[in-house]
Amino acid sequence: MLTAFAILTDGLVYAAYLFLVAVGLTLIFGVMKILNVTHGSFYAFGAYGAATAVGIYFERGLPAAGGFLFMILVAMAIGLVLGAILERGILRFVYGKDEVVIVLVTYATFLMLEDVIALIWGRQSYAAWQPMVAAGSVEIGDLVLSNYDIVLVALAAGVAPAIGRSNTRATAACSPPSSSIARPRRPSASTSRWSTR
Amino acid sequence: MTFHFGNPPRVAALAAMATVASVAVAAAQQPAPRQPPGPVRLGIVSFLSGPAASPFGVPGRNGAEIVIEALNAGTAPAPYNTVGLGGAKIEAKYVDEAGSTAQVVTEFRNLVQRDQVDAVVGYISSGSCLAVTPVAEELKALTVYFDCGTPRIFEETARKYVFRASPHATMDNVGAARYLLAKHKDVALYSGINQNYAWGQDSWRDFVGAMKVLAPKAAVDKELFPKLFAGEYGAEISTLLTSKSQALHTSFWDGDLEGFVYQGQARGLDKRMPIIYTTGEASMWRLRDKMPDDTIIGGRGPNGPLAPDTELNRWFQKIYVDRYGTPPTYPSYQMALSVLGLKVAWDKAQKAKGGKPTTDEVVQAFEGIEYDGPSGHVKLALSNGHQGIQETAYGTYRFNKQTKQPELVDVMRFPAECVNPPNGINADDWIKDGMKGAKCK
Repeated sequence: MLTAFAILTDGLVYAAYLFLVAVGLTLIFGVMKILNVTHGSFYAFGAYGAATAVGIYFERGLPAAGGFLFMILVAMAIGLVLGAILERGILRFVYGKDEVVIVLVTYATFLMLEDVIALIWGRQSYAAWQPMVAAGSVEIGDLVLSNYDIVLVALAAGVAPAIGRSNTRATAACSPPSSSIARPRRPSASTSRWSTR
Repeated sequence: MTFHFGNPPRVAALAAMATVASVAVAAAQQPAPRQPPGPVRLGIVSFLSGPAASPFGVPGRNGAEIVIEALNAGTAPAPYNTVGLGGAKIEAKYVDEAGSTAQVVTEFRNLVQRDQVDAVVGYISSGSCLAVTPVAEELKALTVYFDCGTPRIFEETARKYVFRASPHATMDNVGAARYLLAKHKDVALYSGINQNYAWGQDSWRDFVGAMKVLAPKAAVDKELFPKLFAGEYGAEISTLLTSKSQALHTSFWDGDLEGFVYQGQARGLDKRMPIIYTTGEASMWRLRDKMPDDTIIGGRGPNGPLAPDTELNRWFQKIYVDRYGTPPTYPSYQMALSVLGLKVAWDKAQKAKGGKPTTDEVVQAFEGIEYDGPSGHVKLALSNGHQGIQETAYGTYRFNKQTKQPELVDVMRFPAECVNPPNGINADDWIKDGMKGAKCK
């Protein structure tokens, strides 16, 4: 029974991890119709930045609760800056181009950012362990569960319907072809473009 | 012809001729005036990029750099206080081990054939060592492995040009089993979590083999093999928490090790059972107070804090910390041991010959040597004098809150012959046959 429960909780925790990592990818694709291959770099930048920030924060012996907030704020700030640079510096020049072009451009950016990460943080691993330890744990029989993981599952469960709703709204808002929002070519158009070559 | 001594200019000319002649004769009879001999070129290969660079590759490279510098300056302690190799300064070329096995072999060929190095010291991955070995033999290139652990290098067939001063990985896991049973006699059920590739599989196989010999009643509980660089161990930790295991063995390293330590700690795994990290020494300086107290730590031999307190060790620690600001870990020690081994062999060959020795002469001098490195005494006792054995040591981790430094307490040392197979017997067979001939005193 405990084993079955362990399998269930582990599955949920892992699914929550994967979902939260991937949610940005689906959000960008849903709203902007951009298959952002650079997403992995965004994730890595956020993770390295948050791990570094959390390390600095906890090293000063500041209260743990603020550490969670600080970690989230730093990751968001990195996403904001990086997203603005990518959108203004690169993506706006390829709006309306074929999906393949966008994939290639974001892939090239991903390759470059990989080296930028190595340049900033080096090749060693960083761990943001403090929030996980600070969150404590609960015991269910012999099984000890991290509160951090439990909150993660709850967070994923809350984010999923919100994302679903926002994607639906975005699609509805963008549905008229005459929309003023600059968007990449729709699949049918790109197919015809391919066929003319 | 007669000499007319009354003619001063003639006398002067004769005297000058005699002087020139005597100088010429003297020059022919005595060794040439001390001109610095041409440099000895070494290829140093280690991971300089990729995930193994930070924990192993860079400390290994750094170990080579400072030892070579000290040898070239003649500032190393006795008996290594002579310049370079046989009086010739060492010119090192550092090469990255990262890339496919084919690339590693190509780089090796480049070092030997294009750069004409006199010897290659290097390699961390067992895959690299296995691939380079036949090429080194084919090119007749003196090659000294410093870190790769697989015993198969010399067990498949006899080698001539390949040496490894550092002991192979069997010792780590036999030592781990001996330490665990010395500290926790009543272990009846134990588990292992190891990365699912050659290193993890071989480490676990040797550990289980040694446990079967030393504690036949103890049984294996969970055998966990997450993939390399998995990074997330929630399911494995749940499995271990819900098991009845009384000890856990792992050969995890670097990022995987740290991830497992953090995640295990958050869920109290270290409170349930003693955990043995066979390579923990390389990570403890980074983990510091995050490594739980009472963790059992190995360092692939008597390296780092497990090294004996000798002048050579103190010197090595000092020059390393002065340069890099962090204590040397086991790859640095293994590299120092390998470079010094080459020096011992080279100097011996040079002394026997009187000039720069050939590769074959160094190889002959290298076989079976015994010498001291920063990690203590090493004896190239296995595989016809090509594979080194050393004592090994394990200790229990404590973070000293006063000094704010990691410490290893309850250190136990195991003699070389206690944890290594005798010459001529494969490591795997030796363990399976009950580790016969082990001399533990």
